[in-house]
Amino acid sequence: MKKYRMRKYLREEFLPTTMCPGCGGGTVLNAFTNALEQLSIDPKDLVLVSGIGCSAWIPSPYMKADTLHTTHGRPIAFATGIKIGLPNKYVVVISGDGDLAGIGANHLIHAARRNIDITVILVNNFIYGMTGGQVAPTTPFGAKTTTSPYGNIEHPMDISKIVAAAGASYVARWTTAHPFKLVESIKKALKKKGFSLVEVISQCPVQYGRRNDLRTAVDMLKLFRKNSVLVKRANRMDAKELEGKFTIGEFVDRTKAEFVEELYKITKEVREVAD
Amino acid sequence: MDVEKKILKKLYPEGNYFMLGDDAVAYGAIFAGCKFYAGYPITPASEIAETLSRELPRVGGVYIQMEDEIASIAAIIGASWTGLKSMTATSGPGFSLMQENIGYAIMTETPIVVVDVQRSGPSTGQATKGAQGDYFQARWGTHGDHPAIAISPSSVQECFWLTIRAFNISEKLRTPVILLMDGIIGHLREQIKIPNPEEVDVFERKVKAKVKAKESEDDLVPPMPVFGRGNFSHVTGSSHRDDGFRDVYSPSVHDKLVRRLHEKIAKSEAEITQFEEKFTDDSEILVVSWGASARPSLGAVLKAREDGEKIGFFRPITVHPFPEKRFRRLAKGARVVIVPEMNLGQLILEVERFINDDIELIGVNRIGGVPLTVTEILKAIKRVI
Amino acid sequence: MSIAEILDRRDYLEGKTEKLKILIDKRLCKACDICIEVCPHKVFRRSKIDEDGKFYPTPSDVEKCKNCGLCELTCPDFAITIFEEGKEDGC
Repeated sequence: MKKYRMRKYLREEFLPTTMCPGCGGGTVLNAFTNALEQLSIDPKDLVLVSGIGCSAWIPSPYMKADTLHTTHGRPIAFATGIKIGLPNKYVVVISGDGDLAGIGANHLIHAARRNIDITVILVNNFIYGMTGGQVAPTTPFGAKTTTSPYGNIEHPMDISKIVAAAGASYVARWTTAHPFKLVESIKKALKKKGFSLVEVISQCPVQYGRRNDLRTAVDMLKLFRKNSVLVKRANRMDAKELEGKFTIGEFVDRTKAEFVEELYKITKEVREVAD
Repeated sequence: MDVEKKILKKLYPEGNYFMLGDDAVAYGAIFAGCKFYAGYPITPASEIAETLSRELPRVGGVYIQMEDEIASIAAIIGASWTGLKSMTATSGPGFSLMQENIGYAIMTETPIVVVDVQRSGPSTGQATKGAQGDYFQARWGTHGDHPAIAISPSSVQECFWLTIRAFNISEKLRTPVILLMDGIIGHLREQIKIPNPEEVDVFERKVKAKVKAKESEDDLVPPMPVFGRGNFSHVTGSSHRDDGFRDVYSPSVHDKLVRRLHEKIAKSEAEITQFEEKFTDDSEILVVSWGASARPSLGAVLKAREDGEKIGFFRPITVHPFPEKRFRRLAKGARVVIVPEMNLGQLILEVERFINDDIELIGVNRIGGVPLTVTEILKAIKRVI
Repeated sequence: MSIAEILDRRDYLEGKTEKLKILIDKRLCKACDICIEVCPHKVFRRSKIDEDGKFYPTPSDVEKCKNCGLCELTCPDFAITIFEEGKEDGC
């Protein structure tokens, strides 16, 4: 019997995944494997790092590659050490919004500032899903969660904008309802020399959707499609018009000195050689 | 001589130098083969970072300054998984931040060296003054059942050799080793001899090209499935099976793993343990001390010996695990044990575990950032004669 | 059915035309309905009867399939694959 060819990138002994039915995380994994195939990237040249949370399970254990499953919030810091030690490999962090932009926001910002050549795929389901659905720094204003039972009174962060401002070379945001665009951006991010972020708005119907009148994955995908606005158009809209909308597209695509390259330049210059 | 050692000989010619304890740690790391340092500035450890930022690139290594201590220790663990010998250095407040990831390194069996140049605490305390208050933090700082290895130098020369030893133990046992020094030694300048690199034994970790993650061996240390070599390794801080994959449901999987982590250290205890003893053949009174406090302690013991008193001196160099075997034997012959340290009594609690109730146990405790003196330790000794 | 036969049931839902074949791996499919929703040509229909507690997506209108690949790519569980007859795309 024939099976989906992307399964060759997976540790199939762990399928089916432990993700809830309809979780957008699986779509991100699917898009990622497609990007690898289209770029002909050998998994031997890949190191995947993730933190703690449902989205951190996307690469680990499902991807058949070197996978490092770290402590909460820190995969980017671990990945920094890995990239410096293995400068010729693709070092990719795939983790969630709570992990990378909540507890780990500091590391995200500094890695972008350093412009270190790693790719971060940040899966944003605006909730702390694994622990049961608590409010997150990305949860929409007014939303109901297990720790904002009267409605969230905090404002969600715009991760892509923050990372773009911090100095990243490539920043793009798509949703799981835009998988073709997602694949294209992941490819660009992998190939880009410098820090790349691909933020993916993803559905968590079980912890987020269920408490906010979006009971199914289909409901949430419909919402993503309906409320997404491309960057170019969003730039011409005012705050009121943008309320409740997801701005998607590419935010930044630039070239600047990359950290690991600069680091090894110093070593090359200063290194002592044996006579 | 291999290329590495040739380069070391060229850069750091054999001979006597006058330097800071912190700098001796940095040079010790270089001689041990350290190629990656990630750190964050903190008094009194910043000099280690400064020296390594200058010297590491000269030996083909890399220095990076991270945004905080948590990122520092995460980066060195990541780098260790690419095959590099890695180190970070900090003091109390940074050491506190690093605890979670130290636990991660223990659980994932990652070789790293963490230097804690102790300063007066708790909290910000006396930021620039040395102390010895992190003794039990080095043992139990991180959560859960875990073993720990910590080594304490008492001189600038020891800073050099014990850093090398810390790397060797860490690489051999695939576990973090804490170099538990203090701000007194860290900021002390003394003469030290930099040796011929040929005299330095450097241990390389067991790495196998294709390995089923946790294949175990006699020493209970599995070969490390380093990244980037096609192993498709899986490394996780969750409880895991022998092949490295997570299994948190089975009590026996967790039990087997955590016990092996402990036994791995216990099995090599004889090799890891190091201590110094003087005048212990006929001692009725035993003075036990560590780190900076060991020096005035020895001074007091020498003075008392001059006056004919039967005093012995014992200094654990490996402070965790404490040199239990030898110490128990010594303690049997003692009437009194005196423990001078720059804290309110921590090593003394470890000592207490290994002596009988009928032995008098006295602490000589000094906090406030000023080292103990020969005079005050001698006073304590005189009181029990 | 014997236990062995039951356990061996690596069933696939199949939709076939001369030109192509749609296969859905029932072991992996979690019946989340995403493929039914995203298909621009309405190839899938939700089964009215549940099997193993799942209402599977059946490729009942397979003639409408244009092999755009959207269902294959969006499926979170890698359960769908589409073949063009003559092109051995699967593994």
